[in-house]
Amino acid sequence: MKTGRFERMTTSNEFLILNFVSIVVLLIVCSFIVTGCAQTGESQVAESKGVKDTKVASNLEELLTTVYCYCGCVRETIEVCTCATAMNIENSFRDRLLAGETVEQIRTDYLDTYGPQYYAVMPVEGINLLAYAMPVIILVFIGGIVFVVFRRSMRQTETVVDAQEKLDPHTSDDSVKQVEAELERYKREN
Amino acid sequence: MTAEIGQAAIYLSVLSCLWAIGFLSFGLWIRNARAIQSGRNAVIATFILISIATGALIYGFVTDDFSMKYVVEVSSAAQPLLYKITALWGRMSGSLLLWLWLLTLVGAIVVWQNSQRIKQARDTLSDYSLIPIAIVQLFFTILVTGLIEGVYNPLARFPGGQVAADGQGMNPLLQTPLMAIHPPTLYLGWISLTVPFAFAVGALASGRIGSGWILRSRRWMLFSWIILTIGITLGGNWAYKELGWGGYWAWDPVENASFMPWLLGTAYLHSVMIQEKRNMLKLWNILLITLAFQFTLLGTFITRSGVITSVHAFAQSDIGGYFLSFIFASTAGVIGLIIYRWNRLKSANRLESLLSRESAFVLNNWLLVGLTLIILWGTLWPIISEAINGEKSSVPEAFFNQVVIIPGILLLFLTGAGPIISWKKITPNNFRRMFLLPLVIGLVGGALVWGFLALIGYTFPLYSVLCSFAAVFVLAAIFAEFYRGARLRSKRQETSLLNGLNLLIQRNKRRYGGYIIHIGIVILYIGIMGSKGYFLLESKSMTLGESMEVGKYKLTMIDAFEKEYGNYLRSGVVFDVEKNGKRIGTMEPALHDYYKSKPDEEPTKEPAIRHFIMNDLYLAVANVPHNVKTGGVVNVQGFYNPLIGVVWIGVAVMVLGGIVAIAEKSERSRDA
Repeated sequence: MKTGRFERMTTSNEFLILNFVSIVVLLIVCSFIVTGCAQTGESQVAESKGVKDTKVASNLEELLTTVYCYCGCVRETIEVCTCATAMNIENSFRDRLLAGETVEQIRTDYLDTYGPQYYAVMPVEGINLLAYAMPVIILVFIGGIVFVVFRRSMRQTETVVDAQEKLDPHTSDDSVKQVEAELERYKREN
Repeated sequence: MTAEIGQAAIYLSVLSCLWAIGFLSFGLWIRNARAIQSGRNAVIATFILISIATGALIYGFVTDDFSMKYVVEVSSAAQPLLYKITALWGRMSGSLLLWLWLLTLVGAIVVWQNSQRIKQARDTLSDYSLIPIAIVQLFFTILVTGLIEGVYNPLARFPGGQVAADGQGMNPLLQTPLMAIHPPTLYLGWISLTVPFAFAVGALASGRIGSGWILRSRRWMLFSWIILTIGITLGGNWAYKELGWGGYWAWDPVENASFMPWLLGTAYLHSVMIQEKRNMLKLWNILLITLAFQFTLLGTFITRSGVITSVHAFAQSDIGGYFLSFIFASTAGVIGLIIYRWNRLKSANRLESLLSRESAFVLNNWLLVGLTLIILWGTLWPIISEAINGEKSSVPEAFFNQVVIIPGILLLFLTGAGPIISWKKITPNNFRRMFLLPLVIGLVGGALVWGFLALIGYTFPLYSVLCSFAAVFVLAAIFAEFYRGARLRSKRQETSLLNGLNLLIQRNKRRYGGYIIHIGIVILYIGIMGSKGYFLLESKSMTLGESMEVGKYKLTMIDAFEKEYGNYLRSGVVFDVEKNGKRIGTMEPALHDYYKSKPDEEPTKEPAIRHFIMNDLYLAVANVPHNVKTGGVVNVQGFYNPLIGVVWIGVAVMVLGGIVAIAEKSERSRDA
């Protein structure tokens, strides 16, 4: 239970500010969720790749950026890996695309040969849903703990304030201010 | 003979560790000063013994003693002297010895620091903290003895007196000046985290759970944070200059392993302030520093066990299980002590408002610990997915980029909000005075960046706009703090504003050092935003005389070369670089082929990098055939990396801030 005009004003303003901050944070989070899939932070990459047909070029681009090179250059997609193996894989992909094979066919062949760990994309499906969901769960879980601790702590603080007020009902904001002013004067004098 | 002396020193150091643990525990139990002093001396003895062992191994490298197994594995006669010495940490066994040596050095410094204090006042906290340090030393010493399976003694000789004709040489990727300093720096950062952890355990064991242990270990924590920051950045810089993929951070498991303790250490550096100021979060701080320490071991487990594929695959061995066991055992020990001291760990004060600096720090901790766990989750996902469905998934860089970006930007915002919120409770007046201007400036900054990016063709650069808003907000908030403080000081002392600023920083180095770190973080974010979000990549198969364009640069391949160096062949091509039709120089991307010592390995990439104020131009070649001059085709990759130099500047500013903060001598003991 809070008393005094100043205390009430502080509390109501605090709630206004808190609401404002919460809305801003929520807006940011929602914006990210909505646009999260649209932007991956990837760069613009070369369009030609030595292929004149733009569709084949874009398919090649997709292949090169979605599988890792198996040469041993760990976690480097063929797009980025500069080893001779990557160059040969790129040539082979280009030839197969020009021969009419689809991206899916070529990629499946590649992953069947070298293993699923060479897939550089984690599609949001199946078991991977868990991988994508867990970061949110972690943040919400820890956030929940923080919130509960906050609430408990705040309630205990209020209880302490109430108890003090019960002990000394005459204590008011004015008297607190007076004590603070006295303390300030004491500090200055010493 | 030297190797045998080194081996004997390692075996003796097992005894000295046991001596230290036993005598310190016994001496503190029965309050016997002589026993305690004997324990302290044993810690110093361990340092001397391990120094002898390390010196013996280095001597083996320098003198090309190919009767030693480890020397043969990581060195060769033709290897330059610098890399013969750095071969010490070229593989598992030597890395562990270096780790152990640094750990014993840290232990010896703690003893020395305590001896300085003893002259002033009797103190047992350091002695209590020496016990966990000695236990960690014992663990590493046992590993280095080679008596357990999975790791051999780095000083061991071949059986039967065999001597190899030459060594196999160190991994070529490690034969760079950056690799000469990156691993020891990172190790030192990790190892120095042992000290605040040991002080936390010492505080629990001794029952002195006030803020005394925090104050005593504060400089160690800051030192660890600074060194880790440098070590992680050196690793990124090495990847950028040596791996040839144009980037500096790819969320590789080992990068993550070094980053996670850094995040936890950062959280701890903030939360301890609440304990110092408000006598709160005692339990949390102990848990946090324990977690940070355990993550250094977890990092080693990830690096060395081979459970996860990483660029550090060269360092794999079978010792993961020992690390995991030690992590569990030491965590159980700390939990036991926490339960024993439960009643003393309760906070003396409570949070008074949701809008206060304490709350901002708690939110900061929420995000930093959350980020750590998210990164851990992503790092371990290949193992988890394999356990669930039998298939080891790989986690791409994009996954991490997606999942860390929201907490990352919120953290950036808190970097500015935290310092300007008052302790206990923010009043509406304080909110208006401190927040309004930075918020408005931040919004204007965000809008300007949005406008600029729209102008150059990016229609919805949401991340960049939010990052820019938060960055400008933080800068405005912190500069306002500096300005207000400096003006006040200059008025009081009747001096210039610049002098006022100097006085301000001198007066409270810790606080303003922290603000400088925050400025560095903003610069770092801007660099990451530019270099990760807006790089350009062009690949082309080229013959001599052909050109390619990378961003605003035109590159023409004009020549090729081959040159023999000490232990490798350097072959590359020469590019003529033009910008807006004006020639600005040449670049020479190359390959280094260590064909003598590593005939089966692919040549290492030696990209050519040209630094400009706002961007880097980065060229790498996949192959350099011998017939380039007669029509041979070279596969070239060109990267246009905007703002990458800003990343390094940001880190430098962070380190500078750390140095300012660590300069403050505050050891006012406030033990409960």
